[in-house]
Amino acid sequence: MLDSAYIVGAAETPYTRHPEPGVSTSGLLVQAAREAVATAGLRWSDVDGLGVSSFTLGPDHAVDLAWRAGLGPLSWLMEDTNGGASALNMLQHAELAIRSGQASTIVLVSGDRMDAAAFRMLVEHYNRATEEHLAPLPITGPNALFALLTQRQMTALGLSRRDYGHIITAQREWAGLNPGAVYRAPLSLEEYLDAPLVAPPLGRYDCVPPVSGADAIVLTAGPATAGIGGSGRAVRVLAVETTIGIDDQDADGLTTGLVQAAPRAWERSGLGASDMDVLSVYDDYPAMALAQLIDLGAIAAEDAQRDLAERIGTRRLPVNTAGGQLSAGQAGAAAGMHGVVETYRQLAGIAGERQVADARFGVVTGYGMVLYRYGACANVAVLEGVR
Amino acid sequence: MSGPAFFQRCTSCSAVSFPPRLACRACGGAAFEQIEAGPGVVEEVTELPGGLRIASVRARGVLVVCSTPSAVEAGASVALVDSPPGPGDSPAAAAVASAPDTAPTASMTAQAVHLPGSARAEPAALFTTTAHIENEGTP
Repeated sequence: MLDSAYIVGAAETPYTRHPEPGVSTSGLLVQAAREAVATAGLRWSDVDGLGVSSFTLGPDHAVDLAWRAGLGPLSWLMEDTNGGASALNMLQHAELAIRSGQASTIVLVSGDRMDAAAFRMLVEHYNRATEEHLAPLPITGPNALFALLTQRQMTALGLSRRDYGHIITAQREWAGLNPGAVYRAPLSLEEYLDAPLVAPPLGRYDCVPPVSGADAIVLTAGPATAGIGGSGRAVRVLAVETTIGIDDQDADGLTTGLVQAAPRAWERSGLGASDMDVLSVYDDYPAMALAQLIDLGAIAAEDAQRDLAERIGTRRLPVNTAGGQLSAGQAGAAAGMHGVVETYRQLAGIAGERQVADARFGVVTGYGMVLYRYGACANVAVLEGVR
Repeated sequence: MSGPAFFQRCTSCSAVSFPPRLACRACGGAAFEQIEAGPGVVEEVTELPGGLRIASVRARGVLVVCSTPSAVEAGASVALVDSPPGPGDSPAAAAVASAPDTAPTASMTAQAVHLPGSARAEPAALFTTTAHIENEGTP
């Protein structure tokens, strides 16, 4: 068993609010995967493992994508259906596949062509509980559920809408430094507060813009060779941990599975939240970004109001440095991989204008699959940039 | 007119669930009975464009998501009904007082809120038991 697996390349297709005719989910996935392999300095024929996550790939599955993309023979193949947790779920498996020698070069790719019709189909038929108990309310999509959760968090932590605004405006500032983000224009706290309410206390800017796009990473057993647009630097996977079904959907939703998974990840990596130079948390709603930062140990619950203003709002704590889903966009199942790609770029030193100086350690979280009220899955990866 | 909402109760350990499960998370049992949800207490409310209110309601210890076209506030006692509440949904019709032993007391003017997919269903086997399959396969 090898000690470590390495991320040696990554790519993100441009995100678009309204996909051009002819753009397909499978096309986006292959575009991201090929670009990631190219940045790693590897050939398409080097790939012997493929992991795929997508809401809209059907009727195809991972094996269809592999065949249509001209890959193979492969010694490792997986498909993950767990939405915002799918990227790290795949990474948890892929890391072990590399270390055990089951595969030597694995591409993990996530993405969707998420136009209005696809989004409506997704949110109305998300799962059986949604079809039977939520869609008939009627609600379409999770905004109302997370409005209720945000109210609960505001009460528990003594927060106001303005406090959450620091997450939104800071991520918009980061997005301004990311040419790939769909919303890059600066946003003031007043503009955030004045935006139309979608489901009080959630306003327009508390909700992610659905986009079309795909994200991919490449894992190998050894350090990188510099490819086109690549860095020649590798990012070592120090730990990946998952917790699923922590509260049976029946608690307050303010604690995610990270409260169990993160301590395991810190123990395995020998690091802690305060060692992290960059953080990427799954920001489907600002309340969930905050909940995960608390569960990681990056923010103390009792200091939340102060830290939102003084650490997040000022960007002193580098969180979601590509703008996150809230400003870069939520490309369906790619939403979890977006943070992995950005953290790779930061730790490889190729994050351009938004590069965090001397970034060596990074943490990425995933969260997702709302069963009835809350996301059931949470996971965390600790990564290290190495020369 | 709407009927009362029903939850699922494990016949082994009496744990109450909604939405219904295939096996009990508390004890692993797979035999259930249906019980009236009874009145609930609103914990949070939000409002969607168009005016529909979506509320967190706790009843029999279970937190469920309900809707109502009219204003309702946190802390209010409500009657849970199985289809969108209409003019005929008096508290009596919603069987508010059906479970006085286990649920919070609702006032006689309790407002009705909609809990979709909660109508009493015909009892049905959730799955074929393993024992049955083994018996069929034994020569």
